[in-house]
Amino acid sequence: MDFSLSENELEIVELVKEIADNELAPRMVEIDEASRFSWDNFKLLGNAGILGMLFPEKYGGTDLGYLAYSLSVEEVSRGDFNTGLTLSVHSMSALAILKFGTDKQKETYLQRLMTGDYLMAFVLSEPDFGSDAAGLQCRAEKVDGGYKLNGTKAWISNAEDAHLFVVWATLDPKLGKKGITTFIIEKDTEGIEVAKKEPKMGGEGTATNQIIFTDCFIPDDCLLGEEGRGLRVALNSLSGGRIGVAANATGVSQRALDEALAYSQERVQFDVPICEFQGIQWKLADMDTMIEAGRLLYQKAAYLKQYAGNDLDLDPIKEASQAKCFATDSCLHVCSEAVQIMGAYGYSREYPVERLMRYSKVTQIFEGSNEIQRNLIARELLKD
Amino acid sequence: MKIAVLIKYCPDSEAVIKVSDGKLDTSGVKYSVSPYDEYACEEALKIIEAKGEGEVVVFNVGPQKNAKGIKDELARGADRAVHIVTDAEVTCPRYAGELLAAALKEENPDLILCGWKGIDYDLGVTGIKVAEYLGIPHVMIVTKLELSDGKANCTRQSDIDEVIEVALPAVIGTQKGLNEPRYPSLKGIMKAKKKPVKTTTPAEIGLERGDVRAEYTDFAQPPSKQAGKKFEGPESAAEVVKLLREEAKVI
Ligand SMILES: Cc1cc2nc3c(=O)[nH]c(=O)nc-3n(C[C@H](O)[C@H](O)[C@H](O)COP(=O)(O)OP(=O)(O)OC[C@H]3O[C@@H](n4cnc5c(N)ncnc54)[C@H](O)[C@@H]3O)c2cc1C
Repeated sequence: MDFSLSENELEIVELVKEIADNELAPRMVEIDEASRFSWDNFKLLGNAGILGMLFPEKYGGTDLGYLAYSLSVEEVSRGDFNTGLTLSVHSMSALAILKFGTDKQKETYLQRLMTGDYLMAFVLSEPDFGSDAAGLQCRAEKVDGGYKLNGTKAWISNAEDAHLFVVWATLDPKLGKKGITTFIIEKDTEGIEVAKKEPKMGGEGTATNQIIFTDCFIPDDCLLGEEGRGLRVALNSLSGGRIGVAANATGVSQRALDEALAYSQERVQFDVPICEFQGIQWKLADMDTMIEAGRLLYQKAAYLKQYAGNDLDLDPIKEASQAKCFATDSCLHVCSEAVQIMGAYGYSREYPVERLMRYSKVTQIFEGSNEIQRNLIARELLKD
Repeated sequence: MKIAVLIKYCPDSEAVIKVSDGKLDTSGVKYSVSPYDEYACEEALKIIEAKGEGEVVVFNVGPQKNAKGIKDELARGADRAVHIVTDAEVTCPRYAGELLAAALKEENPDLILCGWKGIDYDLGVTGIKVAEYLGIPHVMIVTKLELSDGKANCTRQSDIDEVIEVALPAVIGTQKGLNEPRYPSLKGIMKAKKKPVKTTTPAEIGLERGDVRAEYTDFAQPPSKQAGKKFEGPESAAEVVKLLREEAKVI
């Protein structure tokens, strides 16, 4: 297995690093504090071509593949975790159109999604169905010329800012998993209400809302893929999404380490910089090792995902779950250690690390909680 | 319209340059295109984009490693480049100007843009020399540029804004404030590799030895600053005045 980057990819990751350092990092605290989606950052990614890294040139993409993409998600997240998360969720949602959409759907939407004119949200979870997403109840009743949607979705990132939703609903709850179907729906369709923003522990720069569908009519051409095959779309999207979250968490961890490392060299106690204490050095060493291990795991999953291409049977479910699980568990630990190293200053809202720590918690929960990731890993292990 | 952009590939503005044995030690230093030249390239791209036709040609004199700087500008959107490859860095701006002028003559651009100075030696001479060798006007430290049939209106910002009109072709030296240089795009990076870069050498140009009249002979680190002194309370005023007069010699 060879994760080495081509000269081209290296230059691209260099550029993303530069954008992260110069444009994203200085605004990270401000955006999160203001609890506002940063269109500036999103457009910046669009203009640079970062939103198109997984998409063919014919739709305005840059077709660089999962390895360069995931490293870019890490870099963007190191600069600003909210923007990094948006990059991951948006790319994962748009990819569902590329993989399962009709030519018309691709032509209608992909270009706009690559430039950053259009933002996309991933609409799967419901108030009563989180981990058990396959039990979802949001109903898409077949009617003349299309479908009528009724039901409530919950915890949808960027719901209030997005233009386009990829939505999972069931044709009939009695059909069980075989009823689950995916749709592409414009937010301003009649019958959609984006309900109030959830106050959260962290990650306030990415709003999370409920979405309520009330007799929402959508025409036939909103169907994504085939009726009853929605779970396949969800699973395939999520394995890519988990690589994205792993990269996002790794970027957050790296930022936390960078902050703590710099601080430990400046902060003097007992007449020496605290980085001279072995107790602090060991923390720094462990943090770096965990970050590196998480990075290798997501790179391996990215490599395999790239290799799998359109072959769903080769989808690296286990590797993606391992990367997500390890990188996000590490993230909470690394961020917590960063706060510890920085003492009261780490705990202060004036410094960025407590914000990273609060955000890091959710990386263990969304896109499949880490318990669910472990279930998936074990299931693969016990197969055959 | 053809616009030439002259770029210099310098130690990055955040690089720390050390001196050892009277020589600059640039080992391990990150290089980038001088920021003033980035304003020049950005302006050229904006002009061509607004016109909808034409090309931006990047020119550089210097060793092989400068190819990276050239590629950065191609990634930003310049169309092609001319690289005059030298064995070592050309530190004499007069000689650099001669070489660039010779290469520019072959291309006959309608406008030549360059940073008004490089961030490395801060001389601000090369662009002026190019204009002299080509026998065309120059305006330096420009913060606003407007083109209209064969002329350029250049604004120089100081306490009072000066507006200078010159006939084209001319060399315009760009200053901070002119524009906000863009980042290259990923597509730009991928395309840059395929854009033509013509390489030539001083020998091919027939200027193996230029009109070099000044050479750097020695470099020294400025003496490190002494720690500041602190005085407290009104009773120290007399002492401060005395020191300002006798030690600092400022009053
Ligand atoms: C900030 C944020 C953003 C989100 N963004 C989106 C989004 O954009 N789109 C979207 O569709 N969803 C989104 N979600 C929802 C997210 O995917 C769910 O929260 C997640 O899947 C977990 O579901 P739940 O919260 O309902 O927890 P539950 O499923 O109720 O789980 C509760 C606890 O039980 C554990 N558990 C559940 N089942 C098992 C099991 N079989 N074995 C062991 N343990 C188990 C869980 O791990 C968890 O610890 C977001 C959530 C948050 C917090």
